[in-house]
Amino acid sequence: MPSNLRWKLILISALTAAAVFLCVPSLMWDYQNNVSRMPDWWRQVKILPIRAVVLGLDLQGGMHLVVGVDTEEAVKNDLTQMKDSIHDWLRSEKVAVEEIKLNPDNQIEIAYPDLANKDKGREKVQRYYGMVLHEASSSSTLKMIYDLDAKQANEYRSNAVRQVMETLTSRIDEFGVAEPSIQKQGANRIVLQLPGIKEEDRSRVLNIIQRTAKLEFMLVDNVASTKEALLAASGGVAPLGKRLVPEINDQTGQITAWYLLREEPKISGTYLVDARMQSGGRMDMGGYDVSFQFNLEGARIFSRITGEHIGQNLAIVLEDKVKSAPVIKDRIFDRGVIEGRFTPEEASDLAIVLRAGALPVSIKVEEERTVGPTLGKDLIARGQLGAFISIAAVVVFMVLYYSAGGLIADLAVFLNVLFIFAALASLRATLSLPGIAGIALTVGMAVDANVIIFERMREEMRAGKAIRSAVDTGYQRSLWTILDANITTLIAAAILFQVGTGPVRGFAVTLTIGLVSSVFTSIVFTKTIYELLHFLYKGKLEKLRIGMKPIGSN
Amino acid sequence: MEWIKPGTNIDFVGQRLYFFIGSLIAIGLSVLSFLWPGPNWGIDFAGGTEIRVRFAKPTDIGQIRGVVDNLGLGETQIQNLKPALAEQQKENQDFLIRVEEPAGEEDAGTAHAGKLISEKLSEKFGKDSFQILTVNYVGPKVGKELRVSGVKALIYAMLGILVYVAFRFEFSYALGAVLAVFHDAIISAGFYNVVQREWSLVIIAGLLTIIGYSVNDTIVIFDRIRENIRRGRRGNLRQLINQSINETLSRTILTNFATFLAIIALTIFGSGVIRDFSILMTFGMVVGTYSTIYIASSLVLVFEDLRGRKTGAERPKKL
Repeated sequence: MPSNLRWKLILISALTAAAVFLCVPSLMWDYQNNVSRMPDWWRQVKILPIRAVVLGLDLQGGMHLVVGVDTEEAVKNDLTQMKDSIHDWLRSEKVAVEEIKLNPDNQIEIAYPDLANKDKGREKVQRYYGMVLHEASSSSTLKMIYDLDAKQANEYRSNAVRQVMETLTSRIDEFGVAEPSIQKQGANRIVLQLPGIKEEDRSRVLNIIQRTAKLEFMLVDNVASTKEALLAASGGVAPLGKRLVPEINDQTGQITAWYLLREEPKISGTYLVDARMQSGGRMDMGGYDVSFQFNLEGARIFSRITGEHIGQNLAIVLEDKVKSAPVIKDRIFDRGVIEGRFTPEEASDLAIVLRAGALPVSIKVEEERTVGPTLGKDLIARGQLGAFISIAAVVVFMVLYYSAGGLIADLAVFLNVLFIFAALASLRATLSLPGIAGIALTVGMAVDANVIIFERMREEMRAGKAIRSAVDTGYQRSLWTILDANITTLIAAAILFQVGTGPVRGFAVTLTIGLVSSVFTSIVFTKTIYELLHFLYKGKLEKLRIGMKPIGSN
Repeated sequence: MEWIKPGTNIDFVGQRLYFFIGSLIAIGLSVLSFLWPGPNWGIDFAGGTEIRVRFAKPTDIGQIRGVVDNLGLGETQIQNLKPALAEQQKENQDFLIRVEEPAGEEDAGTAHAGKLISEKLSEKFGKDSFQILTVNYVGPKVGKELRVSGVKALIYAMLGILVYVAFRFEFSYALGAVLAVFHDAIISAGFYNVVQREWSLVIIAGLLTIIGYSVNDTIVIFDRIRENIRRGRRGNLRQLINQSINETLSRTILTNFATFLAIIALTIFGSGVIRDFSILMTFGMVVGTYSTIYIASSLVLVFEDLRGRKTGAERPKKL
């Protein structure tokens, strides 16, 4: 055997064997329960592959969520903090300030009583806060307007997204989802892929993800059944340092009371180290409560506040609603209970979000795609059937049209499909429903290269060339045609990969892999088979059948 | 077998004027189809909530409509999903409930409509009498972005092809190839509007695939034109182009027929988005084959003429 041919055969056999090996874990994968059924000895041999083809959420069932983060809210929050900090600092530096406020354009406005204070304040603000003076503020006015540095603002935005991502990750972990994927998309979006979420858990997951879980403890100033009654004394608006918060009945959604709460002193949920659900303490109420525990610092603040205000009411405010407002009977250190007549699910979910921490800004689900497990199974079955029949149709057609030659092309098709699955498994790429269609379409591409070659060979044979040389010229002249044709199609596939998400991206992946491997199988593989046949027939391969009458025999 | 006999010589290029006119009319009609009957935007592009429900027993669509219409969710559509061929389940069990995104109520969001509908359905029919198969929600912002990125993808794909073909061949060829695939994409889109099936992201994937396949065919012919010019075949550019189309005709027809077989099988046996995709592809393959044979190479001739090349001369300039 010529060494050239021998090496080609070795290469092809090695690749095929590797592909078969890579496909074994997928065949042995239990897609119902998402566990591998590979025997232990296989796993112990570290070099053997254990990765299986990953099914997209559209086939496996699960939730795909795109969450938008309100980054402008983050900027606003941070600016408010900065404004307060500037105010405090100017006060401590004995600079007189008439008014300092955040205007709707996210600018901080500082008004000074006179020019001397303005110059002093201006120098301090400039030096210690990275603020940019707005051009509108001229030197003669007493009002200074500052813009936030664009770089700083972007940092605030990306910080918010990162914090949201961390919080969501720990919430999802606490809820218990096997192999979730949480990734940032663009500037202010987060994509969550949660495989295997059951139908009944769907709304719980949405709930857990979206709630801010902002927990505050505030002293009660006054309670009334209507807003108006509460605000009559202060002329219809909440007085400075006080906040108006409603209490809402969970069952009916009606507002049951309005509370006027003191902003200071206040302790927030950031100091929580633990939260657990527990069965209801009060016999008459039933339902479940959530108990919580503060860390050391939280306990220090909490015990100081409760110790100083024994006999007063302390409101537990969750997500800007008063949950309860019990009387402080004694100094409390690090533990407390949120009573709310919760169902077990509600209590457990509340405990989860409290443990995982509050979201720094509000978020919104902008896109949801949930597929139940039943449909996934249906789709796999139907997708397999469709793909199988379409591949079979092509395979049969090739044999009918090109007889023995078609058979060789069909071998290439099978090899191609094998390579696609092997590549999917080893690249951890996702097989989606459109991806299955992509495989069927790739078969069309794979035979195309062979059609080009066969048609070329027929032309050469008609021109009177011997088989061996017809085969050689056929391949030689077709090579660049096939490459050019496939590269242009690859351009389309690559763009699809860039633009598409989820299932569509899965389609682009299988199409791309299929295009690349089809070039190999249809050029290198089939050529080698011809050379092998030529060798086996000891150069007497005179009647290669590619479905046309031998020249001169009619 | 040999469908296209050797020595076939059809004058494809000679009739180009008629085919150009025919194609222009088809393109014009396709553009009009975006106004009437207009595209049937799915929720990917229009936004909204879509819930697919499967009942354990055949259920009257009127009853479901009765439940859903009284929820105050804005415009709702309920569709009885016919089982595809060889599908196990019986008639009147699968339904698609679609709720338009109510204008101005951006925050109503996914949990709202989805939860409400499943709650009310279980009140009416009992909790175990149905299953929610899928829930899809696309917010108005995302829908708009997806539309933009879909159009961008098509434009980028054509630009990419333009650059590659210009690099490998010549600018006239690149322009011919890109105009031909543009022709395919727009006529396929027009066809899709006429059959009024739903536009989804997978349809954008379908249009890109049509572009990819059609340009693939075109390149094979261009390649043959180049080879014939290089080998110094007799004839002017017009004759060589026609000869090249004829020589590769067998391959063009066969490859497309093979892919066509695959697509037809998917059309018959696929369900849901796969079926939509396959229906578009079936038509796209036909248009793609047509434009490859009748339009792309003829356009090259037109552009070469416009660029002042002597297309009537024997032995055209080598590529």
